[in-house]
Amino acid sequence: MTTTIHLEFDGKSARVPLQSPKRAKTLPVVQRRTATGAVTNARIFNGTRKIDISSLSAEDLVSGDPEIDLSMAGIPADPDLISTAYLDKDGQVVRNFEQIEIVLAPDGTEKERRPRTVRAANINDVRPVKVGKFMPAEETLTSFVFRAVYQIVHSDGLSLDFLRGLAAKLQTEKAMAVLGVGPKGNQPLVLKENGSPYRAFLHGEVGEGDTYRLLVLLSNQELKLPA
Amino acid sequence: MPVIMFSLSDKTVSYELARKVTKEDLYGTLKRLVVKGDEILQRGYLTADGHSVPGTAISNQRLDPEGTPVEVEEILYDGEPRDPQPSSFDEPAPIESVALSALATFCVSDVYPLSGDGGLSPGLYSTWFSYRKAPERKDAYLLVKESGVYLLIGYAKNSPFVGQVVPYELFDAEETPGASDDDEDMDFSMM
Repeated sequence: MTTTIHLEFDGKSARVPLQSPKRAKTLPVVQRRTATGAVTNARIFNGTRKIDISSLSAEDLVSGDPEIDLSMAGIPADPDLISTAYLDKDGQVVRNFEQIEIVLAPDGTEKERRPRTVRAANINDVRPVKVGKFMPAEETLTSFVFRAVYQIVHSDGLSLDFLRGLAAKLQTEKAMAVLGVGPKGNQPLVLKENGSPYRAFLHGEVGEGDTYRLLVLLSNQELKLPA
Repeated sequence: MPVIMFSLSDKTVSYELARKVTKEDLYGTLKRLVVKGDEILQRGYLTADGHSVPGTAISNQRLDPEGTPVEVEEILYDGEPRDPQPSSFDEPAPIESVALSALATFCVSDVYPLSGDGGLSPGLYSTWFSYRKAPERKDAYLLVKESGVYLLIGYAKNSPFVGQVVPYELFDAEETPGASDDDEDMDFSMM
């Protein structure tokens, strides 16, 4: 499926398709089978009883099976017939609850506690994604861990000129551009509703004739060792 | 630390493979909780007949066509069985010098720092990696920098040059950009 990115560079902007290039190597088709036929995955009730395990003693476990409830064990869990719920310590469904986030530092200490953040996609907003600072391409490629690669393509002749010009500038300057959103163009990109924020970089090259390649590289990690 | 070996022409070089570096190691972790008052709630399920069960009450299971849980299975790759291949610690992986620009089309899933003096010149080398003996090996790049050596595991994308006509058949029609996001947080101090 195609996603649209609203891109601004040098006072011009365009809404253009953002494509996902195919993998260079096709993944093999993996089949699992036994002598009786193909193996399928299923979700099954396993017979775990809702119980506070910390309340059990060794004697409880020796004398019986209080942690097991065989009444439902082995029944397929049809996703159309079950729904996610949040349970209190007694195993009862709780209706009015809050979702919170706790930010922990690398050493495990709590830095912040806040209500859950819901992020909206921001690459095709009224405010365009801005092509920002140019950074040396080799330094950028070897300083960040790139998790995903997408490709911007044109949708008409005007956007072809716009994108090819941008790719040519990046190639000439041997640079990659930082992409950002927000009023100052310094916020990370979120590609889908409630998706992860990523720092994005633009890599451009021109080929023979009027061809070009404009890649969006997403990163959430620097290439370095922990402190 | 386990020793990993690479072969370049007729030379074999070795490094020690350190623990994988994740963004959590660098920037911390985001933990999500569902609470009511001071009580932390557990994720569970509500069944059609009104029972509530804990999340641990449902397991994933592999079943044969008769519904019996499978313990031993045969795995076919493109219709053929494959023998497991030696891991990266049992067989030197050949490496080949490539341009740094190859990183622009490589999606990295794991990063391992390497230590030791393998004697390789700074640059980028293509190779493979397999932590365990397995039928499939992962693509990898060995990045040798002045400041350190890293093994980047992942997969390459085949991004074409486009001209007047965009070859849409070269793009993945099923994958929406960002679809593999796992809704997590990051520390923006990285920039």
